[in-house]
Amino acid sequence: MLKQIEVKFNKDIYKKEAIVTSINEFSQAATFSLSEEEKYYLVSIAEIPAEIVSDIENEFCNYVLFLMKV
Amino acid sequence: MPEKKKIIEVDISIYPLEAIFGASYVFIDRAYIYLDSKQDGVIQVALQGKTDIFDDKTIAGEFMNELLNYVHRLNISKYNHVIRERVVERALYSSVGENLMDSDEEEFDDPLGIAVPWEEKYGDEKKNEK
Repeated sequence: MLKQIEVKFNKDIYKKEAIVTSINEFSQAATFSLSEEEKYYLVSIAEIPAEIVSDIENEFCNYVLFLMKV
Repeated sequence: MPEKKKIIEVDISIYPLEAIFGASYVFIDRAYIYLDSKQDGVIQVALQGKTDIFDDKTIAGEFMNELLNYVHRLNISKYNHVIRERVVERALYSSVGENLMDSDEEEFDDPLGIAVPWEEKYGDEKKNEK
């Protein structure tokens, strides 16, 4: 298990519901937590297996974006 | 996998957020896409191809084309929505109207002649008896 990653999602662009749903979908792959700043939702990703550490951030962002369209 | 990201700045007064989502959706199978906004009215779209096939210039150009396509579709939808509503209303009305006519013309099955008025059925016999 490696590293912790933090991803920011702009509140004017992304919906919290999409982020929460994505966290639930990805919860088996790593440990996620959600917090907020004034303009951003902050998603912390921890306990990431080494084999997916290079992809998980990008795949997570894409999934949130996918849910925005749906 | 290419690490380099291409950043496109999109003016949302020209390309609405809905168009950005629509264009992004088309690309999520071949690129990683991240959206942010550092200034009002402008969205930064960060694109990174998933494979070496898509270099940053190609993918940015294709994304802008898709964005334009989506804006065009949104405009057409906006201008034609009244016509589309009328067409749907007409189609539904025609369907409902036909069903009402069919129910009026439906034949009533009466093998024992129960629905025949008594006067009509026995009226002549009564007159003959008198």
